[in-house]
Amino acid sequence: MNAMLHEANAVDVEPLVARGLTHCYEGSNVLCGVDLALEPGSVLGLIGRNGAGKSTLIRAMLGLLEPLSGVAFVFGEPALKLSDAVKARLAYVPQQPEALAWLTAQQMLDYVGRFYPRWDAGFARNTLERWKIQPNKLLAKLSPGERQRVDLIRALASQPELLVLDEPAAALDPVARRELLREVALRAGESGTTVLFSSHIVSDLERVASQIAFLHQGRLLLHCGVDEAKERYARLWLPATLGTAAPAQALSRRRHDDGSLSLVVQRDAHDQWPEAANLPGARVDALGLEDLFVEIAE
Amino acid sequence: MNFARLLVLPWLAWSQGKRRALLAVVLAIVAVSVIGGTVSYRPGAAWRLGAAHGAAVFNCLFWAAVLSQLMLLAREAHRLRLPVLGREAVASLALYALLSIVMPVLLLIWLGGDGAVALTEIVLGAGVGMAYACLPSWLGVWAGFVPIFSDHAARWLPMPAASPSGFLAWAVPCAAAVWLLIGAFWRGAVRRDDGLNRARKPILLNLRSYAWHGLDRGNYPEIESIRRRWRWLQPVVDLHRCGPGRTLFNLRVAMGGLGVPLTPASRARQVAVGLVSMLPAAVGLLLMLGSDDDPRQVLSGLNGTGLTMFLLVVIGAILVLQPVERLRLRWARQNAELPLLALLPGLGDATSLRRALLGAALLYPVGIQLVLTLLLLVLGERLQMDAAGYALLLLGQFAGAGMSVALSLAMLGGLSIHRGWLGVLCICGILLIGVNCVLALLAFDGQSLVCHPGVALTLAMLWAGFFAPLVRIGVRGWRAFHRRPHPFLPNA
Repeated sequence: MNAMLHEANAVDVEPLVARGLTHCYEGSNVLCGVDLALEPGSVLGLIGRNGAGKSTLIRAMLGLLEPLSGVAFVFGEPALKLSDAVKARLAYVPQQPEALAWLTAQQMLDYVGRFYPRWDAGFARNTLERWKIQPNKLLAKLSPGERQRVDLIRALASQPELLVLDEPAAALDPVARRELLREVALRAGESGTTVLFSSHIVSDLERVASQIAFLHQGRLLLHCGVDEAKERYARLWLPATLGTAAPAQALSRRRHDDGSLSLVVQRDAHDQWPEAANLPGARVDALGLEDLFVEIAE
Repeated sequence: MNFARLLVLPWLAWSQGKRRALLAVVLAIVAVSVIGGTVSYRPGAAWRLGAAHGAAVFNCLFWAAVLSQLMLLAREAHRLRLPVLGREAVASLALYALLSIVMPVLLLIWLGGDGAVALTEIVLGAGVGMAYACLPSWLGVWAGFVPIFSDHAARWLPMPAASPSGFLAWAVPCAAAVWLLIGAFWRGAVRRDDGLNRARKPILLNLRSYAWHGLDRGNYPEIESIRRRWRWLQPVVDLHRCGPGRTLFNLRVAMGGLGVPLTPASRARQVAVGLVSMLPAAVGLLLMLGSDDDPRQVLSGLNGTGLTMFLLVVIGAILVLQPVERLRLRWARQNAELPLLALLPGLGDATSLRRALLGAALLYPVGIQLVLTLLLLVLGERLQMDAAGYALLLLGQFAGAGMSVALSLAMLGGLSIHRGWLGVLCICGILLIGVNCVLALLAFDGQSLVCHPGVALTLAMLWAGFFAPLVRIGVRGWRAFHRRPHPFLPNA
């Protein structure tokens, strides 16, 4: 009973929770039992290769698709049956947004703004101006980057407590990308907004994310703090002669042409590298986030 | 540049399968025409005039469907800086002109026909076909009304049968003007490397743009059509009544299409533009209505009013399927309106939201059917139709609306129906509605044809065969629609 109460409370406080999400498209698995929870006020960067299942995971977590199995909760409510109160607290920007192409940018913001109790019309107006987007231009006539920016304005102007961005920087130029990241960091730092964003650009993650999650072939390979990821994971290189001593547990394993082995390993509960790291000839290389991503994903 | 290559060139625009199918159709038409012409040959002017007319119709279709593709080839050749290929495209056009125009004319001259008249008629036919493909849509669309025009033009213009010289007096300048226009737009389409503006883009290029995006072309045609509109023609959406508690209105804005609420000024502009663009159709309908007293009609009902009613019924049945296609595209896109609506607060509880969504989806198609039904009833009164005729007309309109409702429910419920099967069902529905209308119109000696027991029984069986799967789809769609956790889940 206590366990159940504890679980219910945990769900209440966490803005976004996924449990055992599984989904497939045309017979191939896209998500394989993914568990993920966002802590309030955290900025989680979701990273993975194309087709890793990032967008599907995000959409399943927000109730935008019905997974084959598993459940997702947003502020404690089942994602597929959200109340208006919860919807008003979250904002989502899809990859390459294409909604409401028959409205002008201003009309779209006016239309959407009517539904959000905390809509910041001033922010929307000023940001349109700052980002040099013509308010009277039809969305259909905007470039993909401009449309993405209008959708970001839409999401930010609703002053959400949970902001979910799917590849938000994909169509943005470096200046706009920098501005977006600054805005995200500001929201998270000052308003305590919880942010989940997926990206290919590791430098963006390093700039604003407090946590990262690696999704690879539908599985969540790691989920931890950004600094923790750099300290906890490393590349262990073993010469061909030590191949048999390689630890069984590794996030990735790659054999080179000369027979040597590269593995991504993690520290154990006592903060120690696997025993093989101490063998003569073995080498442990620290990994930056990008290297870690490449090592795992390759 | 050899003969075989020039012969093959226009056919390269299609994949091998489509090319074979199209070639088979063209060869079949040519074979049937030659055999039919040989069998029915009678020395005399009537046969020669009929043959010239047939050749003109064939050329119209052939140039529109096949030879117009050479413009795409010439355009690509220019853009890729391949001058030889560009010259080959023009040479191929000349070769086909020789084969499809000059040879039939020589044959007709050999059979004793008037060469000038035959040449003019066939050149005009080919020009109409080419004009449809190579002129911008606002000009090319007129080519579609040529069959109606040619059926009724004899009242005002001299035709080959009645006055060959009179025919040449107006047809030669017309043919020259059409081909000059084609030449000008061909040149523009081929030589302009950058995007052509909306007023100059030939229909063919638009069709090719759509074809590149495949069958599941997402929202490309819709966005492209909005993009290409002049600023003054852009619809201005009326947002005054939007907001929480106005779910139907909110959904009409969010779902786009013809159901979007517009400001009064914008609505008036759209209606005015619609009326102007329908002018050719209105002229055609008036021409048909004016032919009611044609003494050659054998069957009562098969006159101008009847044909108008038939066209309205069939066009109505096709029009109500357009919103279904729009729904299919909307519910296939994961990054557009669906996530926005799914996460938008204030759209109401699940029950009222579903009701409003159905209302927004069906308002336009059912409204169209209602307006058309009223029009048909008025036209039926003009024909003094009997009760059986009215009943059949109403049945057809009901079937059109039913088709729209059932398929919309299937889309909203996320039913996976094979596209081929869906296409067959829709085509059968449109054909059946058309046949139903014809039977409502036809009467022998004042008695409606459907009153004959054999006809009535056959029609009842056909309707039962159509309604059975339609009702099944509708019921399954309704259940699936209500089973969904929320209505804005995309279809797989």
